[in-house]
Amino acid sequence: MEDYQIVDLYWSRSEDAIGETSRKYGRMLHGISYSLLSSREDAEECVNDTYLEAWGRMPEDRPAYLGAYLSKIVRCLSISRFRAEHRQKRGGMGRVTEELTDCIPDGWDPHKDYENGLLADALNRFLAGLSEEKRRIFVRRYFYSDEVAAIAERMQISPSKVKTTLHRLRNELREFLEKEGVTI
Amino acid sequence: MTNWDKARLADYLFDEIGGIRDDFVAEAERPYERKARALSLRRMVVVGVSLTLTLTAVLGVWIGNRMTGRDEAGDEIGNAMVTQQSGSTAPVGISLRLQELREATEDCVTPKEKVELFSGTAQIVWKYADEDTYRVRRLSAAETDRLLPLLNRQENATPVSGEASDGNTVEGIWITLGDGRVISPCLEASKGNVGYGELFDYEPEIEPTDELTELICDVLS
Repeated sequence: MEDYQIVDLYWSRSEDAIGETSRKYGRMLHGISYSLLSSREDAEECVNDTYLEAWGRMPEDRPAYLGAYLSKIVRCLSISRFRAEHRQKRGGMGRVTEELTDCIPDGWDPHKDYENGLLADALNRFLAGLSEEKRRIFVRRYFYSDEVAAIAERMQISPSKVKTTLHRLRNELREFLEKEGVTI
Repeated sequence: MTNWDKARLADYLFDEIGGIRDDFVAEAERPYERKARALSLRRMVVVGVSLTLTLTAVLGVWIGNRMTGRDEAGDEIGNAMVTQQSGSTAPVGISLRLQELREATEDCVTPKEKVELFSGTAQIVWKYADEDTYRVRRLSAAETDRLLPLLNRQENATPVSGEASDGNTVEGIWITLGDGRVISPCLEASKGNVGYGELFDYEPEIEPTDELTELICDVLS
């Protein structure tokens, strides 16, 4: 079923909406949540919460990309769950955020950038300036939290090339954020 | 800034990545198709144009020489031109130079598991595409001191096109610094061309400067 048809089901408050969503995106959403939480049960609960969240947000929202819309919800719910339950542990998500410390410019005040909407805008401009291949690698790793081996398989390149590309991208992002004036 | 601060900021950055544009998220979800088709088409056009030009040139020279009665000389020129064109997929630059040093460096052959990146000694490591093993040449302190400044000063290096690297018989060359850092002279000098703890795969971006190529070959020969 096409995305717009599923969204129509949400808008018409049809219970089939969740079944169709699960059929089309359930596996993907579970994958995102599992790579953050490393627990099948927790991931399953987050996916179910995602359906409820989507049910609650629509009909107000009418997403053009339903998969991306749901991915964001499940990612957000999974991160919250991880932080609530594993505050001291560093699991799958911990490894990904640890890598991201490479991107932090010295003296960065994120709250100031957040208030000004600078960071979200800068991230989108940074991604827009990348080649499609590099952008996909970045998004797969830092949005979807995919393992390097999974990205390599998906992109049909070697794992070491993925690692090299990510290493370069983190440096480029840090330089980009510095250049964009997100430092104080 | 403490590490704890950085970790917290990285968490924050990770959260913000959750707000990137939907089309980027959707793009990354779609199956990826490498643009091999477009490349082959481009390559076919290049090969086609090259062949046409070669044939035209050979024919022109041959006809010209026939008209002036210098068949023998004309054949020689024609053969030379054909040889030059057919060599367009031969190794170039540092790949060619390393190919020439293949026999002379057979004592450098090292299995992958024996390549030591944390020995405290800098090395030149390279690999031929048709071999499973690597070749390793340890560098003296003096050689390292000569090599590093050139490695970091490659602004004048020539960019490598995909076609130019096709005929290369060398899969990779790296300078390892002995502390885990690995640098390829075929990647543009930046913070991102330094790997750590592994001989990373790469697509050549530049042909090292002549000065650096000469120095590497001088050390290896």
